[in-house]
Amino acid sequence: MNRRIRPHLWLVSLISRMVPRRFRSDWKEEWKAELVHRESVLARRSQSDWKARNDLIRRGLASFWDALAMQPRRLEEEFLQDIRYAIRLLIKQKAITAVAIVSLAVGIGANTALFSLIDAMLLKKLPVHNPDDLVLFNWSAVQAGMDLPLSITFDGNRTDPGTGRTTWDSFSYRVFEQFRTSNKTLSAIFAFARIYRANIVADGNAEIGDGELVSGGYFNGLGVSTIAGRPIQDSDDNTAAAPVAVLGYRYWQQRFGLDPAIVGKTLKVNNVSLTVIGIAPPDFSGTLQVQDSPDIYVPMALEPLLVSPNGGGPIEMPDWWWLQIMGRVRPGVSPEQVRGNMDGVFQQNVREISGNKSPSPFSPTLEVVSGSRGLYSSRETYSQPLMILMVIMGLVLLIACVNVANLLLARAATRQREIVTRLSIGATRLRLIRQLLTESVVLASLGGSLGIVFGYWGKDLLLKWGPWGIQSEQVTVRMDLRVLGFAIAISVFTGILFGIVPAMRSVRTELAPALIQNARTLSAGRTRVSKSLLVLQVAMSLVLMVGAAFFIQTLWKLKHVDVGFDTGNVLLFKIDPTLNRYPVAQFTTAMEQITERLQAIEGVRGVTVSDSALIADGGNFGSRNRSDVRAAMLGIRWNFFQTMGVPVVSGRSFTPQDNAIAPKVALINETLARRYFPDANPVGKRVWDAEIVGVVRDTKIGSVRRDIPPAVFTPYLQERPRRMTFQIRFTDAARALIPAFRNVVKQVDSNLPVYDIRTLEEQVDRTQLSQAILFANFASAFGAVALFLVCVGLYGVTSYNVARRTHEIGIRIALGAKTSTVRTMVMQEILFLVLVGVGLGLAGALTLTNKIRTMLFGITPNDPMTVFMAIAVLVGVAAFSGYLPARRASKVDPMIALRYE
Amino acid sequence: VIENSFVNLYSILYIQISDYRQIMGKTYLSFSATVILQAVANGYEYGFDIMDMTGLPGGTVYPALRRLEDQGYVVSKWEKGDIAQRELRPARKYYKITDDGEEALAAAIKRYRMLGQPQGRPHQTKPSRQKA
Repeated sequence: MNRRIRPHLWLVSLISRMVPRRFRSDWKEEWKAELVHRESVLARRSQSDWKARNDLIRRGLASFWDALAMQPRRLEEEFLQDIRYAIRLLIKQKAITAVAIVSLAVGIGANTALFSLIDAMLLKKLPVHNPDDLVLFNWSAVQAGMDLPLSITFDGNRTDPGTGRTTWDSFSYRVFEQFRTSNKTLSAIFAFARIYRANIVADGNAEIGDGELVSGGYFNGLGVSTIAGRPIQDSDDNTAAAPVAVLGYRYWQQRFGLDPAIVGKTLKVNNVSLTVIGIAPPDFSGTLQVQDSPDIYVPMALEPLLVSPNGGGPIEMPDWWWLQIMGRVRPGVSPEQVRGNMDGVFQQNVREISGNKSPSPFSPTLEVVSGSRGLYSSRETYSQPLMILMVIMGLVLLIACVNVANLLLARAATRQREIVTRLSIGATRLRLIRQLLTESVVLASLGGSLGIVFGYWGKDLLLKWGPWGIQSEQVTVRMDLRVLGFAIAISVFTGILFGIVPAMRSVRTELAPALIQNARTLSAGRTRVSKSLLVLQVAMSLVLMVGAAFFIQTLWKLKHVDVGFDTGNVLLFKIDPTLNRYPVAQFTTAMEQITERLQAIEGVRGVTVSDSALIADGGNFGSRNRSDVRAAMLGIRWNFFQTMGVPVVSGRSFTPQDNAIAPKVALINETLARRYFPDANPVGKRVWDAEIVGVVRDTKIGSVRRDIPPAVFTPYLQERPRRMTFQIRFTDAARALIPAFRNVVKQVDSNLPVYDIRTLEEQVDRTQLSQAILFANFASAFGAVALFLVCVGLYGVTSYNVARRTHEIGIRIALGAKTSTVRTMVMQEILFLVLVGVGLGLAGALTLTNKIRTMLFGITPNDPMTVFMAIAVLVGVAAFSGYLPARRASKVDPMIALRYE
Repeated sequence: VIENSFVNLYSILYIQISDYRQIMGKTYLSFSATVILQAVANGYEYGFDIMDMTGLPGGTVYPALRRLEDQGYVVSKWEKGDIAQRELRPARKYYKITDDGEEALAAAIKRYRMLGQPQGRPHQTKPSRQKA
């Protein structure tokens, strides 16, 4: 064999060019060694020369397939190379890297936190077996101008503005029973309803909790078992069975410290003894609205005992619609088939309850919707605030991206020679774009990692400050894989978003002039891009700032509404003696005893009682005795107005003698007097079944936002016993007094739990202002962040422009231009950009403020003063950050500037 | 040559798909990989020896060896310099089966036995050289 010509080795050398560089030499060595070894074997076998050569060439050619199979590793290799290079570069330019990472982290963190909240509140499915098989029954009707022929307990309805139809999810117990009987399409059907308040006594301690009434098939139908004991079964759900309860996990943890011995023990709930038979699993928090995580689950058959001990409870009433019905579809059955199955029964019930009225305007439609997320209706009420937060945080992220894009553009200028050199020695543009994009994605990933840390803290803050009306412990917001996936996705997305423009611009360069280092030719296009980005940034910031200004104004106005009485130094707490089924006489004695003992505590200036607090609670609104007078109703103690500091403007206030046996009396507010007794003195006249003895000055009732409604106040002693709110005016720190208050109540009745203890101001902030506080906080915090980012952007772009034009400015000064002229010239350019941005932003801001019209208070959505203030702040701060480089420009020394080129 | 090209292309594609399957949580030992692993286990440690032994073309054997190495079923080493020097040729690379490889091989053999007959194309079992 001719050893001088070895085409097989030459082939392998040629093919090795295909192999990624990292593996190339090893690969070549391996193939060559094999071929050389084969050569010697063939030589030893003294095969004919042409046969051996043919064999070696064929084997050499096979290396092509091996090289081909290694191609995916090429990408991997270059990618690693790009990442290494990017990291080196980022470390080299610490300042730019730090600013970029922090601004991205703020944007990504805020969005991650918000997403984790949205995920927990709106997207997450019930932690049950195959949640997608669950269906929930709803019904809808056009309600406008019609009194429904039924009472609905649950308020989770929603109206579609397009069709005008309102959807409810409540049904009567009879509908549930009939659905169950005629069911052919569901493998399980079960019902549940909320117990709003229950007095749960365990080991002699009474506490207020809440619960869920569930039908026997509830746990089984959901496919949820208990972590200890057993779930509620069909056999528990009848009046003859022993009363039992399953504890919610959170309640078990908080109240019983995860003690497994609780199973089998007895609790007293609303004076009924229940045996604990099981504990629900940790993830499971019932099927109610997101803010309801029930403490106990009890069989539906206990409703008459627990909730309506005096009879007349909803379970017996066909026209009281109060429970929710869910089912699990059989395989292959569609929701439409389920609807078809149940619609007949449903319509029959509707005909029965509205039977006497013909023609009945009440024609509801049965709907079957997905039950995979439990009851959904009130979650929808969160969607508007969440949407607004999404807009705010999305804008912040965009502004951050634009800012980083601008930073990268400025940096790209300094790398122009590097890029041009690489292009001229043969790098492809695609390869360079890939490398530049890798750099920006690395930057975004670093920002994203920090953002995940921010998001982890932020989600708890969001939940705590949020207007959700939920206690943060009731919803578990987890940083799970979905949330992390979201954070990673937006990091990569932002990386590409802010990287693509600088990358595209960097490689679109004419090589020859660039290599001659002609600064003006190089940067004209890039300056245009960076100026446009700046305009965009100013526009987006203005939207945020205008939003912030409106929300701050709203909060300020809400805080300074004249509610009609002094809200300072008032502590509230509630007790609910009805849960213990107090007879009237005992109720009265207990209330008076508690009031007197509280009065005796040092630091207490006055104590009064009403069935709901003036503005902290929702209050009741309605009419009595079929009267035309519709008003807010409050049952109060005789000293209520005196304690709250509301003057009686005519007639008299109540006295201790206005008790249960005295003739019925009432006080009305000025609004009621004006509306229903416009021309006469109402004192001595009658409202409903009581004589008006006086008129009190108007105060806000129920809500600080709404107008003052007409109101009727009656002595609580003349009303049925109900949940009562104590209102205590104090002189010292209220917190120190709380144990004393609890003691007083405990002394009177140890089975009477005290709950909802807080000052009136806290209560108002929590119930009425939380949304305004949240928006004001977030919009102003992120408005400030946006403003800061704009300043950084403006400063960077102006400095860059000034540096680029040093030569030109030098000539101007050499030719006699004054410093002030140069300064004005630079400032004019900056202000022009800012004003273009403001113009664009204004259009966006006005559109958005119209969308948040309903959330504003005491201010119109295009209030010129507020908009002007936002613009003034933005322009002022922007002008300042542009002034520094402008001043530097005006101090250019013409000699140095001319030497510059 | 044309037929071998098809076999090689098929193997390369198959390897890419198998990689994908592995990402989805399944480790998949193809028939040819099993044959190659068996050859390594039986002491055929050099690429060309495996080709001779199994009759599979180089474009199938080498990519499969690299993948088995990535999976940790075989390890590759360079033979000692003095051996190569003695024979006046460059050092060759050889492959050894690992403990994981032994396990995977046992599982794969069991699986293919259960199938009754191998999944691969029948001609793959014949040495390719004989056809040329």
